[in-house]
Amino acid sequence: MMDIHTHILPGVDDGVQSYEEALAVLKAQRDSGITQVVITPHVHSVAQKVSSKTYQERFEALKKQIAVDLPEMTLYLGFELRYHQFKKVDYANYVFQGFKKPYILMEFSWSKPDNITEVIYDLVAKGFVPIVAHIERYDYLSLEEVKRIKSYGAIIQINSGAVLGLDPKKFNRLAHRYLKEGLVDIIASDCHNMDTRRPNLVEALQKAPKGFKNIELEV
Amino acid sequence: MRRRNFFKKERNSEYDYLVTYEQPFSYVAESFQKALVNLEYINIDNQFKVIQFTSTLAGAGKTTFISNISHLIGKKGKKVVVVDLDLRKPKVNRIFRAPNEKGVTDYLTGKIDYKTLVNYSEKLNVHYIVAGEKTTAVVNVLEAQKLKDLITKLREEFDYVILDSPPIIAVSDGLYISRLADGVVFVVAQKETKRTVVDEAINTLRRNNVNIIGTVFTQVSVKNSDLLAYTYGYGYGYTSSLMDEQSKE
Repeated sequence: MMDIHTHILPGVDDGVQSYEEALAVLKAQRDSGITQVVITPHVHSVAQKVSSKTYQERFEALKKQIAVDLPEMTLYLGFELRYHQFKKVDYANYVFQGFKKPYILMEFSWSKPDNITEVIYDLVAKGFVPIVAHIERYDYLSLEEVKRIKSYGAIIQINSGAVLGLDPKKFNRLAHRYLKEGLVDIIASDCHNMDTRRPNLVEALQKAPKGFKNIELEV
Repeated sequence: MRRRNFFKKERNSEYDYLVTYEQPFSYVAESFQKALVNLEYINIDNQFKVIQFTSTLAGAGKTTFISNISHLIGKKGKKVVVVDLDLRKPKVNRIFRAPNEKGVTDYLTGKIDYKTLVNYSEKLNVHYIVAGEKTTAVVNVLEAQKLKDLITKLREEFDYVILDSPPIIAVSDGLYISRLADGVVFVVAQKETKRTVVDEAINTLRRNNVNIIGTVFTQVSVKNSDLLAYTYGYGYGYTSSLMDEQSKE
C-alpha cells in the first residue's frame, strides 16, 4: 500500500525534525502494512524552513540510510506545492519523482478562497495530473465545484485525520460528505510526527465507507 | 438567494462543446447563423472590424456566443481572431482546451513574441489569443500603448477581431476595452438580467460614447414562447431537405 502525502524529510518543514523520528514514523507505517511512501515536504509555504533546492540531496541521504535500517520500505520524493495567485512557478520542477505520470500535489489557502477550479483546469491542460491535497479543508468549495474539479481529471485527496475525527469537526463532516458522494480518490495520512499528526492511514481506510479503495498511482 | 451571489456568479459550463460544430443543423446553431447574418448586414461596409462583446453581469453567455459565432465566421473562409481581454476570469482558453499561458499579459511584458501569441485551432478554423499570466494591474494593461498597437496589427491581418471582455456592471475594464473596439455587441440573458440593470449598463456605455451595434438575447427558452410552432415546422423542413440531398448522393 502507498501513502502519498507525508512530511518525513527531517528538519525541512513542520514535519519530523530528526532522523530517529523519521525512522519511528516509517516503522509505524511498515507495521500497519504500508511499504511505499511518497515524502512531500512543503514548497512555497510558511512551514518551509530550507530551500527546496536542497530537498533532493536530503532525500537521497535519507533514502540511503532507510535502505539500511528499513530495507522493505520504498521511498519516493514529491512536493506539496502551495499555490499563490501571482507567483510564477515552473510546475515541472515539483512533480512526483519516479512515477509514470506527472503527478503534482497542490495545496491551496484554507481561509482566503483561491480559484481552485481554474488552477486545476490549467494544470490539466498543461499535461499534469494534479492532486488536490486535503480538499476537506477548503470549506469555501461547493459540492458542485468539487465535482467539477474531479471531472477535469484531478485526483481528490483527503486526510486520514479528518476521516477519523482527529482534525476539527467541520473537516470531519466535509470529508465524510465527499466520501459519501464518491468524490474521494485517495486518503493519505499527511503525517508530521508520532503524537499529534500520526501515520494513521490504515485506521482511516477501515473507517471509510464499504467498498472504498485508494486508487493506485502508476509507478 | 440569487441576489446574494449577484457578482459572484460565473458559469462554468463546458466551453469546448460548440453547438455549431457538434450539431450544425440544430435550431440553436441556426440561431447563431441568423445572428451572424445580422452582424454581417450591419458590417456591410466593413467598418466594424474590431468587435467587443460584453454583458451586464457574469454568466450571460459571452464566451459561448463568441466561440460559436467565430467558428461560423471561420467556416466561411474568413480570417477571425478571438482575443481574451477578460483578464480577471479568462475563459477563452477553455474553448480550445488550451492552458492559459503565453497570452496577452505575457506579450505586453515582452516575454513572448507575436508569433507565439497567436494560436490557431484547425478544428474550429479560428485564431485565438489567451489572457495569459494573472496580473494585479489590469487597467494599466488595458490602457497600454502596446495593446493598441497589437490590435492595430491584428486589424491588418484579420477580417474580424473579436474581443471578449468582462461584464460592464461588475468592473470598469469593459469601458477601457471599448476604446479599442469599433463597436460593442451587448449580450443579455433571458431571466438572468433585470431590466433596470441592463438600462444602467447601456447608459454607462452611452455616456462613454460607445458605439453599441447590437444586442444578443441568449439562453432563451424556446419551449415557453410562441416560437415553438414555427421552430418545429422550420427545423423539420430543413432537415428533410438535407436528407434528400444525402440520399441523392
